[in-house]
Amino acid sequence: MSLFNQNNIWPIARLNNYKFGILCISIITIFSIIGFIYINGDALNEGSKVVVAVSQNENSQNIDSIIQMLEKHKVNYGYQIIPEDSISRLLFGLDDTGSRIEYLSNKDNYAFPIFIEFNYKVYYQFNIDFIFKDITFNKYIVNNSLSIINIFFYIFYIVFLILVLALCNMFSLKLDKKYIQFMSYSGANKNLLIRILFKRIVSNSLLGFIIGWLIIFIILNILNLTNVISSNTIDFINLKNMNSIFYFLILFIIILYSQYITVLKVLKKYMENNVK
Amino acid sequence: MLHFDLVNIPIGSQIKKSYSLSFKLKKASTLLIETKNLSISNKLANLSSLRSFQYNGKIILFEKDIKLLNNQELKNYRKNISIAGNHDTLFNNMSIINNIALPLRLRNFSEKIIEKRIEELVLWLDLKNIIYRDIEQLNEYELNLLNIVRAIITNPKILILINPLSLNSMLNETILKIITGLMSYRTSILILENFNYNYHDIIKNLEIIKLNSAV
Repeated sequence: MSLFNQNNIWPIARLNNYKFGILCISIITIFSIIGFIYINGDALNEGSKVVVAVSQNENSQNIDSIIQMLEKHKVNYGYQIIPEDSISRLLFGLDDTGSRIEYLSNKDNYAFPIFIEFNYKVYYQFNIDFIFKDITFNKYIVNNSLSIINIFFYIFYIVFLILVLALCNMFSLKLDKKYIQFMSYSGANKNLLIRILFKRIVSNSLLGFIIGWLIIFIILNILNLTNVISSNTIDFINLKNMNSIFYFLILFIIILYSQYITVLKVLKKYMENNVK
Repeated sequence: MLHFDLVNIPIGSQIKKSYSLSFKLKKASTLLIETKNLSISNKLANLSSLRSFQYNGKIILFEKDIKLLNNQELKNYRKNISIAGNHDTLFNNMSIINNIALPLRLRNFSEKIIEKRIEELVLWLDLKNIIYRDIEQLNEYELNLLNIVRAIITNPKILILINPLSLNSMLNETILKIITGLMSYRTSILILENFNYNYHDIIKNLEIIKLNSAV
């Protein structure tokens, strides 16, 4: 007579309310990713951008002829014309005051230049300098890497999320207190209980993390069909660059470690109640 | 085996009011303590099974004062005591068989021994109709029986039962069969009962203590 289903030997590793744990991790993962995308925004770009200001008056160029020029040289991607309402923000955000003065003092022959933003790699790959050699008014290299302030904001945000997760874990273990104590009374020592609970937090974290990432992945990819989402954000969620892989790896380790610490402390507390 | 010497058990949050209790649970004997208060039964069970140490008086277990036990001794002593009642519920994300096997697994028994012991219990108590069902399908009485089965699988030296009998006469027969069977295996049984069930006719030499009024 075979009594045991081998696949059902240690389901206790998840204890009773494992679904709650998975739900918590999914929500925390979703909020972490959304927070990262929101706080860092365009900074998800790997490298710098190049903004080229091209003159319209000197060679009677307009936007259409510039686009034709770009397409003629097969630069049909990797650039965007910066809308007028963003230009003043761009100009005053630049450090190169010399360029600004040069532009602003050129009032006599005034014609508002067209600003075109290029991906750094595309800019040099297609030798844009040469294409626009007659009409380039100025060139700015915009550093889009993560700012320290944004990183600080995100650290505070993630600490807050981790604290929420710790509270969820404490609540979850409180519901399991009866079972933990039963196992302790039945002869399980602390190491065994920690091992069992560690199995549980690893499976919860992994499953919750994948579910959380998958939800954001699906939502952003659906939104991407209508071109609402920037390509950098899509590359980030699709794990197409090393930075995003590192980000998700670090996020997973942080979630796992924070849970481990919480579980360890709560378990010690319950075990201490159990001993004189 | 277990000796309570003038042990004061406080009633609820009232520190001044308490039950004073003295009894001796001998080897391979059964002692029935009748109380009208379930919380008293639970407190007594917790004290007897070394789950709580909030008492005045003296409790001697296996010839040693339990307040003098170190942590290692405490763990070893606990392995010899099993408790079945409303304290511990079954894990509903595990099968019934895995629930019953759990105390043995936690003590690192081999799967072969675990399987053998469960087979013995299933045959002895005729549990085939129960153990292959889902926990959600079981009623309160069947869960109570399974709690007892899980408590006895480790062959404890002391078994504490809280309100073991119920309105289900068939299951009562099985439970009384367990009690009489275990006594012949030299297990001491402490029954804490809040209701009026008749144990006398089935269990021979049953000692009864009635806790009716607080001091």
